[in-house]
Amino acid sequence: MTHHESTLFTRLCRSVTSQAILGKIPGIAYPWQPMLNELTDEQLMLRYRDGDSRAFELLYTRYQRPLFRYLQHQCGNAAIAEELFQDVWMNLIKARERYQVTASFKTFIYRMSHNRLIDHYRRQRHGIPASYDDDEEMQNSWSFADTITPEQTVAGQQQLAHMLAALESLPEAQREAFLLKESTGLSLEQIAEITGVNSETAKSRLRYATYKLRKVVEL
Amino acid sequence: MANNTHDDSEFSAYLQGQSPLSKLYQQTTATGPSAAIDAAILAAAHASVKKRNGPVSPFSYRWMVPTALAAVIVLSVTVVLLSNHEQDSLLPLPAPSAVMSEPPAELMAEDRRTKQERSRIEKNDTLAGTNTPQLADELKTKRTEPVTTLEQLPATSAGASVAAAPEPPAKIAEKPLLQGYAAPSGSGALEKRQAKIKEKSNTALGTDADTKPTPGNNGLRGDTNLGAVTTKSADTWLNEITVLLNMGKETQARDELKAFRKTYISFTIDAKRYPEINKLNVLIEQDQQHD
Repeated sequence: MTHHESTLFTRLCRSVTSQAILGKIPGIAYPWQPMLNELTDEQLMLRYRDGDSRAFELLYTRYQRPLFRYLQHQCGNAAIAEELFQDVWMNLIKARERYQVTASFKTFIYRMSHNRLIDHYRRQRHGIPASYDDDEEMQNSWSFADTITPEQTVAGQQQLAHMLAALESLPEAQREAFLLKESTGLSLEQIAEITGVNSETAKSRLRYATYKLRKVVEL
Repeated sequence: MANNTHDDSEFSAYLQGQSPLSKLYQQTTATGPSAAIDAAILAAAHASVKKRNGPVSPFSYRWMVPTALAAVIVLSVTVVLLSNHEQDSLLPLPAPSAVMSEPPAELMAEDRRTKQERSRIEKNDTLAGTNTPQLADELKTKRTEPVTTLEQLPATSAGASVAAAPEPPAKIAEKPLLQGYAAPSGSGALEKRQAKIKEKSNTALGTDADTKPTPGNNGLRGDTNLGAVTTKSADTWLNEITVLLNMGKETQARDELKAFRKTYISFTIDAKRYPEINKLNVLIEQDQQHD
C-alpha cells in the first residue's frame, strides 16, 4: 500500500466514522443516539421519511387522539371524522418522501387536516361555510338553541354539555379556531398559518368563539 | 367600555391557558378512531416503507452500521499490520535512488562499455608501468591523441542492442573515457559525455543526495555515478590506487584514498597487502592532524 493510498484510506475511514457518530447516514438508528420517544415530531417524521416505520407509529400515537377530536368536533359526525382522519394520514404517508422541515410537524399535519376539511365542505351541498369569509356581521351572528339531552343533565355534566352544544352551533371558522387552540395548544400565529389567514383574523375568530361559549356556560 | 375591558382581560387569560373554559373543554373525553382505521393507517405506513426498503430484520436495523463499521476497522487494521510485518521481514533494501527503478538500457550499456574500457586501460597501464617502456610509450601516445567527440561517434540506436554490439578495437582505443587518462584536448568532450550520462541517470532515478559525485568519483573510477548500485568493492578501489601510486600520480592517489576512506569508514587496510597505500594513509592522517 503506497503512502497516497494509505492517506486516502485513512481519510475515507475518518469520514465514514464521523458521519456514523453524528448520525448523518439516513434511515439508520444508532445505539448511541437517543431513543425514539425522546425525539421531536420533526425528527420522527424525518426518520419515517428515511424508512423507519417505528417512527411513524410513535408519531401516530402522539397525534391520533387530538387530531381525531379536532375533526370530530369540527364536522360534528364521527363517521365523517373517521373518513377525514384516514385521508389525512394517508396523504401524509404518500407525502413522506417529499417531507422537509419547513415548519413544526404539528402545524404541518393540522394544515393538511384543515385543507381536507375545506375539501369536505366544498363537496357539500352548501359549499364552504360563510363563516370563513370573515364578514364582521357573520362573525357576530349566532343563534344558539340549547338542546341538551336529559341524560347529559343527569350525568352531572350540565355545564360541559352546554359548552359542547354551544360549540356545535358556533360558525365553522370560529369553532375551528377554538378547537385548534384547545386540542393542540397552538399559538395564534400557528392557527393563522394553518387556516390560511392573518393572525388578527385568527385572533378575532377565537375571541368571538370564547365570548359566545362563556356566555352559554356562564363562566 | 367596562365590558370591553373585562372581555379583553378574560381573553388574555384564556390565551395564557388560565381560563375556566379551557379547563372545561379538557374534561371532554377524547375518543380515538376505530381500531380498523388505526390498523389500516399503520399497515399503509409499513407497506410504504417496505415497498422502498424491503424487509429489515430487527438485528440488522439497529446494529447494522455499527457492526459493519467495526468489521471494516478490524479488517483494515489487520491489513495494515500485515503489510507492515511483511515490509519488516524483507531484506534491507538499497538506497531509494537505486530501488526506484532500473536505469534505462542506454545508460546500462554506457556503463558497461565504460567499465570494459577502464579494465582494458588498467591492463595497459599495468603493462606501461611495469613492463616494456616501449609499449608504455606507445600507449601514452595513443592516449594523447584527440578524443573522439560524441558527434563523431557512430550513430547508434538506444537500447540493449547497443550494449550487445561490440565496437571495433580501434574506436575504443580512440576513446579513453577516464578523465585521469585523457588528454587535455579530449577531456572536454569526455566531460560532456559524462555530464550527459549523469544527467540522464539523475532524470531516471530522481535527484538524490546519494547520487551526487564525491571527489573520488571524478577521477579514477570514471563510472557513470549510478549511486549505490555502482559503488566499487574495496579491493578493486585499493588496486586502482596502487596503480596510480605506481604511475607516480600521488595527488590523484591521495584523493582517491580520501574518497575511499569516506566510503569505507570502518575498513582496515591490510599493511602487508597494500604497503604503499598504508604509507599514504599514514601520511594523510598526519596531514589531517597537522591541519
